[in-house]
Amino acid sequence: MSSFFDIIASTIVFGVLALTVARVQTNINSTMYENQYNVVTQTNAVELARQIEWDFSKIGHHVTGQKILWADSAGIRFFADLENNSVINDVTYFAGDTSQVQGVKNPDEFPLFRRSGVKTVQQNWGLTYLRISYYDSLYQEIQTPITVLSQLRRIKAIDVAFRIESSEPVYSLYDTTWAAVTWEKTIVPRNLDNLNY
Amino acid sequence: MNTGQILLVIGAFVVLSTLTLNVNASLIKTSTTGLEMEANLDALSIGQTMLDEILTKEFDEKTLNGVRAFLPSDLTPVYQLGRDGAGEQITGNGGVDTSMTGDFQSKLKFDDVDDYDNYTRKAWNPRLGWFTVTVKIDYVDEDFPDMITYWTSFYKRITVTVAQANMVKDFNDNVIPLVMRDLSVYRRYF
Repeated sequence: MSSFFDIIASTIVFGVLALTVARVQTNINSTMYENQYNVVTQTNAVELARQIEWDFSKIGHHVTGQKILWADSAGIRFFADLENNSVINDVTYFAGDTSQVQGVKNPDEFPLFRRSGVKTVQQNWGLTYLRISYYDSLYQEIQTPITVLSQLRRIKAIDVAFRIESSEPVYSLYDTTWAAVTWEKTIVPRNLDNLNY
Repeated sequence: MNTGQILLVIGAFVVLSTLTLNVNASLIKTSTTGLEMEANLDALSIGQTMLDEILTKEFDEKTLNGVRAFLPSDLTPVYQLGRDGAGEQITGNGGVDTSMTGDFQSKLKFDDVDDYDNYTRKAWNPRLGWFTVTVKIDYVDEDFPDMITYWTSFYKRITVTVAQANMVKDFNDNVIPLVMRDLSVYRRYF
C-alpha cells in the first residue's frame, strides 16, 4: 500500500516538475521571439531614419532651379546632388498600400517606394504609419498636397514621423501584439535657404 | 515515503524554484533592455530635432537682421543669455513648452540660439508618453570647445538633455538621460 502512494506521489511530483520546466522553456522561447522582433524593428527604424536623414538633408544641394517638385503627407519628390559629384538626382519617396506587401501577418504594413532617376526600389521596412509635414520659415505648417510652385518654394523644414512594426505577432500566431518603434524628426535642409544652419 | 525522501523532494523543489525564478528574472531583464532601447531611440530623434531647431536660429540677439559682430564683446554677455523680453516667454504649463503635435512655442517666439538657455519642453511620443527635454547654452573657448568660458566668444555650445521614465537605467534604477551636444558658430565671412 505504501509503495502505491509513493508511486502516486512521485508521479505528481514529476508532473509538477515537467510543467515547471515546460513553462520556463515557453517563456524562454517567447522572450527570444520578442527580442528578435525588437532587434529587427529597431534596426529597421535606425536604417530608415539614416536613409531619410541622408536624402532629405541634401534637398536642393547644387540645384539652381526648383528644388522640391511635389510634396504630400505620404510622399515627396525633390532634386538633390546626393553624392556631391555635381550630378543632380531626381528622388521620389511615396508610400504604397497594404496589398503590396505579401507574406506578412501584420495587416497594417505597407511598403515605401524610393525612386532615384528611373530606378524604383520597394522597401519593406514594416511601416505601419508615415506622415510627412512641411513648414515655412515661420514654422507655419503648409497644407498638403503641395503642388503649386510658389507654395513648394515656401517649404523650409520637413517633419517626418513613422512607425515600424514587426511583420509577425510577438507572442503567438494568433496574437495581435507587434514589436514597434516610432521615430520623428524635423529636418531643416540647408539648401532650402536656411543659411544660418 | 520516509522523512528523508520527503526532505530530498522539498530540497529539489527549492533548487528548481530558485532556478526558475532566476531564469524568469533574466528573461524579463532581457525584454526590459529591448524596450529601454526603443525609448532611447525615440529620445535620440527628439534630441536631434531639438538641436536642429536651435541651429536654424541666428547666432545672437545682437546679430539679428544682418547686423555684424566684429568682436566677441559685441555679443550678448554671459549673464544675459536667455530669453530677451516678454515676447520670448513660454506661456502656460509653468513655462514648460508642451505639445503633443510638435507645435512648440519656441519655434515662433525664439530668434537666436541663446534664447534656448534653460529652456524645457515636453515632447509626446504615442507609444511611450512624455519626454522631457532641457537645453543649456554656454560660450566655449574657440580653441578648446570643451571648455566653458565666462566671457563671450564666437562659439556657443548647445547641450540637449532628454529623459523619460522608460529609458536605460543605472544600477540604482535611475534613468540615464541622453545628453547631446553641438556647436553654433558665428560665421564671419565679411
